[in-house]
Parts: sequence; structure tokens; C-alpha cells
Amino acid sequence: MATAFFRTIILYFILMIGLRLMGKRQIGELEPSELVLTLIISDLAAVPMQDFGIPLVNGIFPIITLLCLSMLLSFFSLKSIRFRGLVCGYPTVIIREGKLLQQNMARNRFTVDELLEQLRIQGYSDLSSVKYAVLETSGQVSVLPYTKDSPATPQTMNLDVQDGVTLPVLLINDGHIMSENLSASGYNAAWLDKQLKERRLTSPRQVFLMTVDEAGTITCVAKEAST
Amino acid sequence: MKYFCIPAGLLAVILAFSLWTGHYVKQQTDHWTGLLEEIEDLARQEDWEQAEKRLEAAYADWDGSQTFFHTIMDHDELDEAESLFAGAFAVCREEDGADFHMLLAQLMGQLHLLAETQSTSVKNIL
Repeated sequence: MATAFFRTIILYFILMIGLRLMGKRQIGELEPSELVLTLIISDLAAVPMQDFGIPLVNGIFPIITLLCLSMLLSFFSLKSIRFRGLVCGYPTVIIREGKLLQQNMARNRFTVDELLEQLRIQGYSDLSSVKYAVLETSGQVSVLPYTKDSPATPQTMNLDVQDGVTLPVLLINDGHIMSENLSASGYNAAWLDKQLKERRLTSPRQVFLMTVDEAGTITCVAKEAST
Repeated sequence: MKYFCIPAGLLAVILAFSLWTGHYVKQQTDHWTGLLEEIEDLARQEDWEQAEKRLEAAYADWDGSQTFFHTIMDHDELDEAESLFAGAFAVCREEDGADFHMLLAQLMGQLHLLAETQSTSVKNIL
């Protein structure tokens, strides 16, 4: 049993490192090559984890080889658009100027049911409100509606509005000061102490969450008293 | 460039290790097969005492490589060779010539099979 325990730990960390290297995409957003890689790797890890007659390297070497190949494919995809198209495919327009391109749908084996499902998910119940729909390489459908069916924005309404979008930066996370964020925001420990005192807090450990945005707006949530 | 060099380097290391492993296993199994052939000659000459001593030495040599062999090879194949060694010991002590030759032939066949599984050949790849 100890063999299974140690093998599982080793394979788990190798898989975690591998998946971390692959990026942050979720299963539904994987490119075909990435999906294949994920499926094969999970199978490769499971076999030596359960069958002690198979050496661990028989699982580890193929996993590392696949991850290296994946990284090389990514590298060449970055360098060459043609190669990227070969590996990932190309986005396909399936609705142009409101007209369904049936040949393009058939070429991608994309059914009407799937199209209608994707449109419904994105809030379009009527096909006539869609000007363009593009089947992305990940299998997702991007929908561009006619302007009359698009949500109104200040720009489409010719309104002059001030940009008020700011990005809050985390300064205290569950009692821990995020020193890098603090200095990157242009503040220091003395300023933080002052802010805490103003809120009748004596230590960062009493803070659950504290953020500051570019306009200097501070959001502070104190920790609840433990029961 | 490191996004190319790191994976390409790792692949090169794995390939080199795989090729070296195949070569090392072939070298070792050829060595043990040579020892077993010498033991077979001793048995033909009815020198059972010397044959047993040489068999023990060959087994000790084999046993010393088992940790590494178990990390790279199917354990069932190695266990098969291990049981053939044990059988050869038993028959050698009984000084049964016919069975001893048969077991040594099986053991040498198994060693050949071990080397074969690690060799880089079209047959294995396909």
C-alpha cells in the first residue's frame, strides 16, 4: 500500500506541474490538441498508480514527453500562423450578415441544434438578431448581433461619460499583508497602519480583506470574531 | 528561446536515457548469458560444485542490478527470470543434468527477452 501512496504523491505533483504549465484554461475552453493531451495524461498517470508491476517511469516519461511536445507545439504555434492553423484549426464563420452558412456548418459537423443552443446560452432567442456568428477553435460560438439588437452603450448613444473603471489591488488577504501589492500601489507600512487605526484595528491580522483602487478608495472587511 | 530549449532539452535527455537504458540492459543480459553458458559447460562436465558456485555468483550479480531494472522494466518479466534462477539452483543441487540444461535455456531465453523489450527497434515501436 505504501507503494500506491508514494506513487500517487509523485504522479499528483507531476500532473499539477504539468497542468500549471498548460495554462489556466478550463476543460470547455481547451483546444483540440490540449484536450487530447489532458485525456492521455490522466490515463497515463492512472495506470502506474494502480498497477505496481509497471515501473513508475513508464508513466512519468510519457507524461513529460507529452508536456514537452505540447510546449514545443505552443512555441511553434506562436512563431508560425500556418502551424497554429494546422494544430488548432481556424475560426469558421457560420452566420454572415444574418445568413446561415450551411456548408461551413457541415464542414465542422456543427448541427443546427448546437447552434441554437449556443445562441440561447448567449441570450439570443431569435436567429434574425444575429449578424455574425463565429465557431471558434475551442468549439465556442462568438455572436455579434445587429446594432439594433445590441445592448446600448454610452458610445452608441453618443454620450460623453467619464471613465470610472478602476482595478482594486489586494493589500491584506486573510490577515496577511501583500507587501508587493502595497509597494506597487505606492503605499507603505506606515500608511497601512494609519488606515487600520482609522478603522479601530490594531493589527493586519484582524483584517479579512483590504483593497485599494487607483482612485484611492479603500475597502476594508474586518475578520469576524471566531466562535 | 527558453520555451523551445527547455522542452527540446528535456526530450533529448529522455531520448538519450532511453537509448542508454536499452544499451545497458543488452550489455548486462549478454554478460549474464555468457556466465550461464560457462555454467552450462561445467554442468556438462559434471562439475556440479563449481557450477553451483558460478551460478551463485551470477545470481549475486543479477540481484545487484534489480533495483535499477525494476525502475525501468515490467516487474512480471523480472519475476519470471527470478523464479527461473531459483529453479536452476534447486536442480543444480540435485545434479539433474537434463532439467538443469532446460532451465538454463529458459533463463537465457528470458534474459534475451528482457533485452529485447528495451531495444529500440521498428518491431518494438510498432
